Amino acid sequence: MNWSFSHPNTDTLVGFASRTLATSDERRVAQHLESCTDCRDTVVVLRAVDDVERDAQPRDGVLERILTSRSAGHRTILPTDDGTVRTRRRLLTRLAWLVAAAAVLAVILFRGSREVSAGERTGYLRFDPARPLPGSLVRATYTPSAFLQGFDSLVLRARFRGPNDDAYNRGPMQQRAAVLHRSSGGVFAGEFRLPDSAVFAVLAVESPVGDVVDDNHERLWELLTADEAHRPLFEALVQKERDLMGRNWTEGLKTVRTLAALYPQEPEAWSLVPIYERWVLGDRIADSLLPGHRRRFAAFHSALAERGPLPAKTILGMLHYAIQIDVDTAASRYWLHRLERDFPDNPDVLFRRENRLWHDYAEEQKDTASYFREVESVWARADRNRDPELSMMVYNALVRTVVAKDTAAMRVWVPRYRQVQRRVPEMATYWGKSLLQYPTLRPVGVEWLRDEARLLAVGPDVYRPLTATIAEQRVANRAAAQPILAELANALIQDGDTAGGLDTLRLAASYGWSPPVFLRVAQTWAALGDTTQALRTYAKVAADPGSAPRFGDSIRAVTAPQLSNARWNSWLSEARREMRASVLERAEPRSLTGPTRLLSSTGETRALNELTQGHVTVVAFWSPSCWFSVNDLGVLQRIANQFSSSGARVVAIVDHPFSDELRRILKEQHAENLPVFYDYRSDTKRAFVTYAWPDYYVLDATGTVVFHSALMAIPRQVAALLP
Amino acid sequence: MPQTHTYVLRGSAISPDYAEESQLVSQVAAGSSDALAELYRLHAAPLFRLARRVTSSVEDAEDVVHDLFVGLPESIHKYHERGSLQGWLKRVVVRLALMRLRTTRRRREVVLEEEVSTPSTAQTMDDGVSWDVQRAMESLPDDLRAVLVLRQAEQFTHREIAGLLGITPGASRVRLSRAVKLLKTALRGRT
Repeated sequence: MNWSFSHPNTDTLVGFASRTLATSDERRVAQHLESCTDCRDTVVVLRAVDDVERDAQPRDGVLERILTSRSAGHRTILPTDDGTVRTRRRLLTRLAWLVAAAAVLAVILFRGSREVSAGERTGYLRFDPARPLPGSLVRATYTPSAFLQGFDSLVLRARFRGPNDDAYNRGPMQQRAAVLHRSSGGVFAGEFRLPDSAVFAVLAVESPVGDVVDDNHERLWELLTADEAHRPLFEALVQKERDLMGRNWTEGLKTVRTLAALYPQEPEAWSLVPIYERWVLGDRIADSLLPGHRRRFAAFHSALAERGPLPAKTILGMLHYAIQIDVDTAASRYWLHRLERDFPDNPDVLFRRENRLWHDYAEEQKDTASYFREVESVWARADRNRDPELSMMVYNALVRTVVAKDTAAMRVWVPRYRQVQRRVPEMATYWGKSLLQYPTLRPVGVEWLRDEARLLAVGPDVYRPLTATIAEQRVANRAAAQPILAELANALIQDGDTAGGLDTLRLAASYGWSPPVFLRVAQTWAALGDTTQALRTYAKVAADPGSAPRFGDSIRAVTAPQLSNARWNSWLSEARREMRASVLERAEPRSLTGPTRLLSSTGETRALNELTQGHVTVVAFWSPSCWFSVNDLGVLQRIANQFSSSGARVVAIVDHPFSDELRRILKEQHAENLPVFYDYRSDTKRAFVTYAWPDYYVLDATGTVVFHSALMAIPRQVAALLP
Repeated sequence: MPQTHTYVLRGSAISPDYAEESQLVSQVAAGSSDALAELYRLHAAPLFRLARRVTSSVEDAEDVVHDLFVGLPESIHKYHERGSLQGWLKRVVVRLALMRLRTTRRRREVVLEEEVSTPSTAQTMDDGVSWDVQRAMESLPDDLRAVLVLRQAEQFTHREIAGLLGITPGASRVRLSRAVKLLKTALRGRT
């Protein structure tokens, strides 16, 4: 290695920044960097060069342009002449590459299974026109992935979004758009008409029976409607942003920035930008961008405030922009007043009115009856559509009925809620269970649960995400049905139908590993006097690492005289095998992309893979500003303690810098020994595609993300991944 | 596809299949537009990034990628016996990008002004720090930026860079050193 004076030369620093130096050299450079700020700056700059444009992609139309140019007879003479001499290194590289390829082939042959190679999973889907008008006829041409080559026809499925559709993609939103037929060149083609109401669509291709899906590596293919000048419609980009919510936040940021760039005069477009900047880029960068937003808002304000009638969209945009960038309250009050004055029936206005009524009557006067009386007039003005704000208003009112324990109001608001909300099984479970607590509302609760259980048993295709096969959706439906069936079973047992309840519970238990359901099944077997069935089922609860260790001991203590140790232990072993198989069946492994830089409590920079390599690891995202995530810290600490001897780790990633406040929170939650790291560049959350707290992942020893987890499932998922 | 959802398959690494790539190359050489589209899907993104870094322009980078793929069916036979396909494609992209830089000197100040007022796709991907670096890189002379990108971001050797740029390996080292120095100066000027 060349050193000039005491400094490493630039090439050596390049090697260090790229992590390609030999270990001994790396150590020497690292030692030098400890005392040399100049070289340290160089390494920082070189690493930043790596990050520039790391995720850039050519725009959608480039391939189309290439194919059009080729069809038109255009050709380019490429500068392929390689002036470099073939070196020994290159020969060695080539040899190594061939050896690696041979090794991959050998693995495939040895395993006797079909390995998946790049290019096999996803094909290429094109639309003509690429930017249609709503209501247009669209021709789809699909060059199949290897998995879909052998069919005569394929199905094009779509999620069409109208201008008022809400964020996220829950509920019955999918449909079959077209059948694609094989043409002579192995390409599949078909047509569909874009619904008049649709401004944006995402699509996927699948086999005729839905057992093979090409979802473009989960990105799906998108269709943005556009105006005559091929500019994407404002509503199309808004719907794209809503569709991406929860799927890809970084792409969401790109979308809202594109929206603002294409529609710079629309305050609503700009109002979305600071939200994503904060979520995706983190507080530090979002704060630094606020002055620009405030200047822009001020310019909008002075241009629009004195102008005559404005559309609701503009006024709402100004109001939301003011709230997002936290300008003076006079400005936000001005735009709220104007919205209420000019558009008194706007869902946003109704939602705010509902809020005020609750505050004025319930909180200030402790008079919930008056709230429910007055809120009737708000509901009477509402247009009964699925506007997101209206859904929130009705949701609020229903929650208030529970808070007020007003069963008459519940009877009124339950059907309204079911009318305006998209049907989502998780909500049925929650509300059905809540209603079962009130004797007069039990039939309403049972009806709701039964409706949902029936729906999940049938499994209509409109609920199936574009990324899921029919078999996968069946598994998902069963997982969603399990708690619903358990609630129905409890209701039956409480009503005296123990046998019916047991049958329902056993059906629920067959839908997946669930200790609470097993416990209820065991208790019911015991109540019916079948001790053997009860104990076999209790063994499943005891085998789950999330159960208290005392649980198995207490069952053993009670049953010791009748049951041999050998039999109990064999049931436990059998239960552990079943649990492991059941847990691994739900594994959805994926790799992380992009940097994952973290800061330790001592100020040391670490990459997540340094912390996880060789260990099964629970990665927990939390924030001191999220009570739910703070509340989970103690459980995480217990999980860390439980598995420390097995080599499994917990890494708790926080969105705030270390402070006395943070340490106080950890102490209060009995989580002082939890390894906490600060996601100081927000890039770890980007790598996981997570923007909410609490959020949990379980990684295997290779660093692959295997489970997107729920807190209570973590112990069994960790246990399933341990050797 | 049920078989891809077992733990073993979905967790395994996905490696390019050598035999399949060879077949794809043959199909592209035979004029198959489907094979060309597949090759584009496999390689366009890293090639675009390389071109974008060298040219500092989204439009130029897309034109480079366009020109590459338009000319590929007639030229891909020259790839044989020259290592990995992506490495070969990258070298061609670098040459195309350098040719473009030499022939189409754009008025950079106008472009920068546009990019400040209208956030580009690329800008949205980066946080403030890497955005600064990106702007600083754009301010480097083309010949220095090319060496910096090829050496640091693409891991080319100085000998390879020398072959591509028509300079000596020593000159490549000197240019790298100057590029880093200028980049640091540019960044200090911003803070």
